[in-house]
Amino acid sequence: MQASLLEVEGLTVEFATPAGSFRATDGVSFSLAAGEVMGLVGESGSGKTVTCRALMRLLPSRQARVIAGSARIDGVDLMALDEAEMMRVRGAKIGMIFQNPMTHLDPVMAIGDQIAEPLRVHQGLPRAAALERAVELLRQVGIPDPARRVRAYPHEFSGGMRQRAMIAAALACRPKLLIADEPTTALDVTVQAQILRLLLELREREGLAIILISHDLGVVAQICDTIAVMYAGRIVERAAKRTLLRRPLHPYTAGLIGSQPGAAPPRLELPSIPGQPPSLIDLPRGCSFHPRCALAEPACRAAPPPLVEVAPGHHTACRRWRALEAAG
Amino acid sequence: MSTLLQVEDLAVHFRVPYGLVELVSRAPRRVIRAVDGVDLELRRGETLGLVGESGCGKSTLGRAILRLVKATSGRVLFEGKDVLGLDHEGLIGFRRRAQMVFQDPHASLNPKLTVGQALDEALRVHRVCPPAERAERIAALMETVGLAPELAARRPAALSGGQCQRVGIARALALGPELIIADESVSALDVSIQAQVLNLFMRLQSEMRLTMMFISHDLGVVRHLCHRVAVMYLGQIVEAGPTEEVFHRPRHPYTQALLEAIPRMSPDATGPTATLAGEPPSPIALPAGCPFHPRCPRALPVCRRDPGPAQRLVNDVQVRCHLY
Repeated sequence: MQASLLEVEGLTVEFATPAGSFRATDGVSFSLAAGEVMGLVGESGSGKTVTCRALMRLLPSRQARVIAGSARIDGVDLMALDEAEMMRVRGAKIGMIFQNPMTHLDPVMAIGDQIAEPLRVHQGLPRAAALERAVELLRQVGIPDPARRVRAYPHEFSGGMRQRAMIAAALACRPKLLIADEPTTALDVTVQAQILRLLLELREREGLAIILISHDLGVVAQICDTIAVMYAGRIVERAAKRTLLRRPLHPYTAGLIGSQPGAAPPRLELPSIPGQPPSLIDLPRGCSFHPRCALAEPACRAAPPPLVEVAPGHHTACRRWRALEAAG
Repeated sequence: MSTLLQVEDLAVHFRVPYGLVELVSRAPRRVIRAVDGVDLELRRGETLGLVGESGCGKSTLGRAILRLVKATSGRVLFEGKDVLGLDHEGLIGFRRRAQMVFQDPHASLNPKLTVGQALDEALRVHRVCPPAERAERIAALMETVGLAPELAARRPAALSGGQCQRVGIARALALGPELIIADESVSALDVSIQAQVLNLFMRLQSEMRLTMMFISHDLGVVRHLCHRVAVMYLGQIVEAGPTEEVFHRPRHPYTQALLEAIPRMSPDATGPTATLAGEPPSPIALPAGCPFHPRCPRALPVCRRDPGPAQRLVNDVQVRCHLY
């Protein structure tokens, strides 16, 4: 891998709510090389979306605060930028796409103008030139008849086409990093396959690095080089895709893989993780996973285990990883 | 196994609301053919999976069977008796024996009722047991679905998604039904909770000898849970048969493409196969001929003209395709 494009160190986001304050992410660290596709998986509330919104500085400023950590892209710490400087990063260096394109596309603005907007703002292109480039971008993301479609409005597009249009807008200024937050969750499986193919093509062609947020290990397994698993605001395991899926060294990861339908023969009981994810306001002491963990020992209740590299490129936040490794 | 439910040539058509433009231009009324000529059989004690993409009509089909939406034509025979012709009293009797579990566990529960009250309501309305026995019955139901007794005093807002879904299942079971139609009942749950609820469905089904129709877009879940599977596309069932047979040897080109597109959690996966171009057309403007032909990689000239043959039986599998 080449030198890293993005370095995230100890990112901690605190939310204040009437019920109390809590850390939606706690000490999240990872790095991403140019052209690398990283999957960020976890259940709802595990902190994957908050992590990425924090990178884009798109957290609701009234409740959420980054209380520690840094995120460097090309050596610049995004957490230290003011809003004007951050505006120059969004779209130009980092693009972002979301689960539901309809809530992120402007319904009363033609698709072409929405794709052209970042080009006019960031690169100062005149409208005609920006629209010409928008047609080209629509063609690249696989929208048929782009010269005509560029004048269409979001409601005239199908779900898959809207997602393609949002990808075109996010990539208009050729950012080096694309953050994709559950980009295929709202799509049908045949259309999902098309969009995942498109993301892979863009990585090949443009050398784009991608952070793919998903709750679906199957989706992540398709296109990612590395996978980071989050639980209760922390990254609990991070490794190359193959290593992580073959030899998970955190009991939560192992539990997730084991509870997929297909892990047991049809109609037989699926292994499942007992209990439920904890409330972030009232986290268990020590390792947050210990109440659901079959391997937990008294030490696990004492302090949260740090994420350590136990094999080259394989990080786990579990004291008992050797027991998992031995069990194979 | 005997047949519990037989659906014959069922159709549900919705009228598209008439706007001013249509009124002025005297355009013909447009119709959405959500369910369009479905034949389906449910045998006693089996779980049938109904799969398809959003908008294919699978939820509408489930709701039409329970008369939660009005069918346009066709018959729904429950033990040989047509449900669509039942009067009010007959319908209440039928609903006691056929229940639904919905997708969004929070939305399908009354937020003002505690868990105990929600279950009590079902028992009371349908006069399932004498009032004195209700409390005992509620406790037993909660135990059956794996809910701690102290949760009876909580409202849905104080429950997790998995717990709410268990309440939804308990409420469906309260009447002692024979048939349960579960519509995307695990889709909103997190992966670690989904496995728990799937296990619950399988246990209930075998212990209570329930007949189940499991509607889902998740083929992995359906393969795990169901004895037989029916694949729907634009209001029609294109293929139906024993689950393993359909998954091993899919015959309809749509089923083949659907199975290839499932993202598998394999360490060596190299990207999904996107065999199908395009997206399902709108059920308002169905293409002429077989509704699948514009996306079908194996379409023949006849497929453009002829609206697909009737279902044909190939090795236990019903297929609706000109290739067979």
